[in-house]
Amino acid sequence: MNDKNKQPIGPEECAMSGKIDYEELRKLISLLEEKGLSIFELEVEGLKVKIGRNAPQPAPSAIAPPGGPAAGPAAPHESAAAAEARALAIEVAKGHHMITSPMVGTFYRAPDPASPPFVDIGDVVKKGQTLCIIEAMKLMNEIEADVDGTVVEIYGENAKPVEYGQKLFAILPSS
Amino acid sequence: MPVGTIVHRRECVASTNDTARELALAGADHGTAVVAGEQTRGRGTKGRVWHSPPGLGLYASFILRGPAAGPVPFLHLLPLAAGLAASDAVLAAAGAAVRLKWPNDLVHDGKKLGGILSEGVSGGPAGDFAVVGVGINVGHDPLDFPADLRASSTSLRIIGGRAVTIESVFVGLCRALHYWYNALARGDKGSVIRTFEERLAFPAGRPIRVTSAAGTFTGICRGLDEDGRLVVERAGAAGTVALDAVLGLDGA
Repeated sequence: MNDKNKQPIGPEECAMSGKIDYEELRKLISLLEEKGLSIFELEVEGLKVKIGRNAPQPAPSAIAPPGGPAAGPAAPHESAAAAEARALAIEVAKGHHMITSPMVGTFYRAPDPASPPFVDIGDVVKKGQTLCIIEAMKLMNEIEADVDGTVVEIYGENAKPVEYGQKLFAILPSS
Repeated sequence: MPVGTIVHRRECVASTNDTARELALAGADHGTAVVAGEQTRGRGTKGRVWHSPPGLGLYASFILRGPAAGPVPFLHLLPLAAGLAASDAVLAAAGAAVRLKWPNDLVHDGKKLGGILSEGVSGGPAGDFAVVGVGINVGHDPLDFPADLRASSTSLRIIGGRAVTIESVFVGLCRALHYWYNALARGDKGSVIRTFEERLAFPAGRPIRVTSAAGTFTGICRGLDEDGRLVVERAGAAGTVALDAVLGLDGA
């Protein structure tokens, strides 16, 4: 394995994540609707987005805990759905394309224990390139990239179980 | 399209799974089958060879895709569905009731009659697909097996049912695979798991010896869980473990 492949992605390569286009904004808004949220704020690398929509208001006590509005990204009273929406929205806002697991099974980053991983963070991948294998019941399923881009995040740990729909990779599309 | 509507017949291939995969990557439809008279590099699991002499066994692979070009439904249960289909086909063609050694072998009287090798590709430009390979020993005499496999292998001919043609097993396999795949496609994973449990070579309540990456242990089989994993109550330990892979499985 080449050492440069192990380097985390440099700041200059992240620069474009500060931009957000109309399509990404639309994704954010539909996410807001899907999760039934009424207000959403996001700040990433010099970009700040605040989106609000008219939604049936829950009882005030449910949104305004004693002590006033909570600050920071990991408010303890945040619902699981809201936390998931926030995590996904951050990825979407960064322009990341997510690869998720199509099945229950064990996540393998290499074709066998003696081989280097299929991909590492920072690697440029092509559409159709194998990213990992998920195995269950001796069925080996190759997960291929469905976009050209750069691998910016790997969520699964080698040889550990993954669930259906679990995030595996974030890819920053090259165009 | 019913499984086996399109059949690619080949005299000799390296591996029917490899041929099916190439066809799938070139866009072949759901249900397309490849059947070969002989495989020169027939594959088993863990990189092992599937002994595939000409004219003696059924060597077939099937391309399965999801409805509406979507993901293949319950991909992790496909090997179990294929095992059910292979045992149905053997029963229909030869009148022999075989057991299933979880997750992917057909056995009769403790000897190996056949096996399943499944692979999948997700997210690629040719669309999601799975290839299910089925090997069943049909016309072998004991001497047709390599010496090191002879004691542990059997064939429909050795089992001594009625005279069986490879083609009749293949025809039954297409029908049965269509049936069990459709059970998964309509979300009925319960019937696949329950029926597989009924056909386990080492059924629920029986002692088994499991070899896993972590070592060998004995316990009592407690059937399959909702994801098709083998549930084992380990001897001398509280609770059960659910396994999604084993290196070896025997009666204890």
